[in-house]
Amino acid sequence: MRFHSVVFFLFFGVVLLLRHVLPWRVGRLVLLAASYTFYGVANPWYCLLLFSSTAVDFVVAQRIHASDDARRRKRLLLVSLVVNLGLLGVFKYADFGIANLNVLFGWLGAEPLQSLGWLLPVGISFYTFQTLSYTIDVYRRHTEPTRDFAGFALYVSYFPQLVAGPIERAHRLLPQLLTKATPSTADVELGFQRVLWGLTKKLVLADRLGLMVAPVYASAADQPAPVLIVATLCFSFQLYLDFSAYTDIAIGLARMMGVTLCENFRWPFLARNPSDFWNRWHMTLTQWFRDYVYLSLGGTRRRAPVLTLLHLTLVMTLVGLWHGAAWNFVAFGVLSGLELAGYTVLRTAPWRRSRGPLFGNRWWSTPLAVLCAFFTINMTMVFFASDSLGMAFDVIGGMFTHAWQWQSVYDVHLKLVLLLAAVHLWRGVYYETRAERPLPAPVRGAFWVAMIAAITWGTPQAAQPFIYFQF
Amino acid sequence: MPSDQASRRRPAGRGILRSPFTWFVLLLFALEWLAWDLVPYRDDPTAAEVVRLERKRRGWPEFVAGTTERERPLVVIISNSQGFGREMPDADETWPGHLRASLAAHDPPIDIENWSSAGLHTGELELLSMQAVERRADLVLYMLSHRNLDLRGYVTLNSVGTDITLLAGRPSLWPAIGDSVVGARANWDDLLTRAILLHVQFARARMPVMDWWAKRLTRDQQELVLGHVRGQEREPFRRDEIESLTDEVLRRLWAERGRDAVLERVARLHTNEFHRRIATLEQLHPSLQRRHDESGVPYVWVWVPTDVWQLPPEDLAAAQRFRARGSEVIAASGGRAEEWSERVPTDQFISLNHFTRRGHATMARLVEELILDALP
Repeated sequence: MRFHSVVFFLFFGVVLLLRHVLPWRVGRLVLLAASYTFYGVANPWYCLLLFSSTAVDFVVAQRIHASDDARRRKRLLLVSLVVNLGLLGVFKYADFGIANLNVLFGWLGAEPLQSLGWLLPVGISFYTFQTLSYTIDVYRRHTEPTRDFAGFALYVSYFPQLVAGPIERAHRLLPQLLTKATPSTADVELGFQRVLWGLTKKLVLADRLGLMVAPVYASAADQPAPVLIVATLCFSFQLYLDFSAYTDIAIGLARMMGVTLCENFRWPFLARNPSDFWNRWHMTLTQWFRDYVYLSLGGTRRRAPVLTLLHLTLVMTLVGLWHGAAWNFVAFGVLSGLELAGYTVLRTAPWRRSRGPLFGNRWWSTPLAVLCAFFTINMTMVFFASDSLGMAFDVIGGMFTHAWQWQSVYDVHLKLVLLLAAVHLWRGVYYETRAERPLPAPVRGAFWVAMIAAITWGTPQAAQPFIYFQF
Repeated sequence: MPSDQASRRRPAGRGILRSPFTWFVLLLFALEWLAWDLVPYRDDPTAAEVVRLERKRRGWPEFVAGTTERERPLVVIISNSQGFGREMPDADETWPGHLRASLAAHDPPIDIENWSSAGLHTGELELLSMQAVERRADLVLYMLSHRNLDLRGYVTLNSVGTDITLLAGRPSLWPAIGDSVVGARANWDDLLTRAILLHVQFARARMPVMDWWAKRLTRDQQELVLGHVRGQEREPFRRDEIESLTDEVLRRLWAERGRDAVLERVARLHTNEFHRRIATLEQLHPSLQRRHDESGVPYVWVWVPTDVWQLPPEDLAAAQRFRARGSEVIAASGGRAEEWSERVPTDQFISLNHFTRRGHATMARLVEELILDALP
């Protein structure tokens, strides 16, 4: 079920009402049923996967907690890892592996393998990571396992964040779902506003930018350099607006039910360096990889800097691969890792007197750092936006070698992307420097109506699904 | 929370005024009220609601002025891609376009409305026929081929929403429609979205807002900014691009085995579906005839001219058999069907069922004679 559909909002209205009216022991079962309905609309069989991941982690976590035998605990953790990563591997990576093996077999003259051709269940990358985080936290004794299966199942399948995150940790979300939260008037208002804002970002802005990106990238070899640059900027904003719109809607819906979800974005294009960017972009995923992969590998080792750089690159390659089973995503991850490693090398270089900001503390240091980071991020985004490595190289090559010639057909997109950059800068600086003050009620009401009008009048002909649904 | 405690102490009336929801609802109603003025002809007592064409699909419902009390006779044309003019660069170059120009200069002038659509299927035909009768047209011209007669609605060129638009918007039509017109991919979201777009005025005002935008953009920009182009496609189809009118299988056939293989495949498809299409006509036509008889709105039924020389013998035989049997079915319920295949020279066809510019001009002349003869 899509968030940006009339049916969803009817569904949500009914769920909200039932949750409010019914006693919590029934209401939470209704919420659980609603979550499975929400997920199963596309394909009811996917609910089985969701349920099996939930059941395995519920049982495994209980047994890990009950056991003091380190080897048994490790074996149980391995069961959870094998089941969850196995599901992910089969549904997400098997065909990618087979396709690459077939290339190898082709060279060796062997018979090619048959691809599975299974569709990727929506949201599997998100909920498997969420359940894994619970089991690992129990294993590390960072959290207590719950004995309430329905509550745990609701934690895994909670519909506002099921399909594309934020990836929530059990210690944060689970307690909120085990008791009935009573949303305040402010929660309902701010939640509603957040949902409207998310819909506006998605339908009016992100989908519109997408109309330009796809045709330009598809004909990258024939496009002049400025068009490729603007298309890449458009994609970066499209991706940010699209994904952060989903997060806004998820946070808004949950807040209307009295549940607080994690933030996933914090003005990412104002990052001062690659490390800062990953602390602002898809924050819950970055934190997941930091806590469960990077730190497990040993984290930052001052005495073994090369190992640290290798760990950074490896983790970011996994982040890239998490996004999609294709070489362009692997390249996106490797490049992101190299950027982080490069930044770490520069920051900790022996010739530097201090470990402060790379560009010092002059008045121009921050703008210059933001510009450099923005440039680096956008070059990496080319790999995210492209369908293949070849396309990505065409685009990057075109930016530097094609004619420097503007096409007036893209005037609107150039203006839009400049406007978005200005708004991003202004809002980012505003939020980072002062506290938010609520506007008067009539102004907020007018703002909501303006968003409704923008959605109704400004949505392009056909709304697109959220980009992160494919992961 | 302190704000909640404060709100509990406040009198209820002030609390309501301090809620953005109150202002939101009030302003939403104000916008809804204001938007009535944005929908063209919405308050015109003589206006009627029609569904205009937009590219190859039917667009949103709009109002057109001057319909219930007309000074000039009105002819509604319901046809397929021929009448729509898929292969023509501009709507004015299609035969309904020529006809509109020539009959506007006639004394008395006659209005033409072209409701044709590429890939028209039986469900749409039934609904457009109902609309034409409701609109009290002075004459309805059906120019169709056997391809447009199929209750399964196998032709998928049209937007699924077409049916939904009409279903949701016109409850009076619901009982008459039956299962045949519900698009194969129709879903609740389409239905609800269309219902909102039909009944909420500020949602309806999307059309004029889009037009306002479109006027400020070039045609190329419209595609990249609005997601579609307002109005008909302007790029003409060349003779060597005809394959783009066929489906993927046919295109591949064309590339691999040439044009003859495509014609053969098309012929086999059409021959095989003969019985089903006749059965569809047998089911459709009596109700269409009854509708016209009861309303007193006359109609003319013409079989779309086909370039008989392009047809392989067995398909030609099947087509002729279909038309002969189809004409019998129409005659049985009291109507009359015209067969014009011999009246358009073969060099005026661009493909089996589509015309060159000269073909459109010839068709316009033929239809003009027919209309002047048939108008009461």
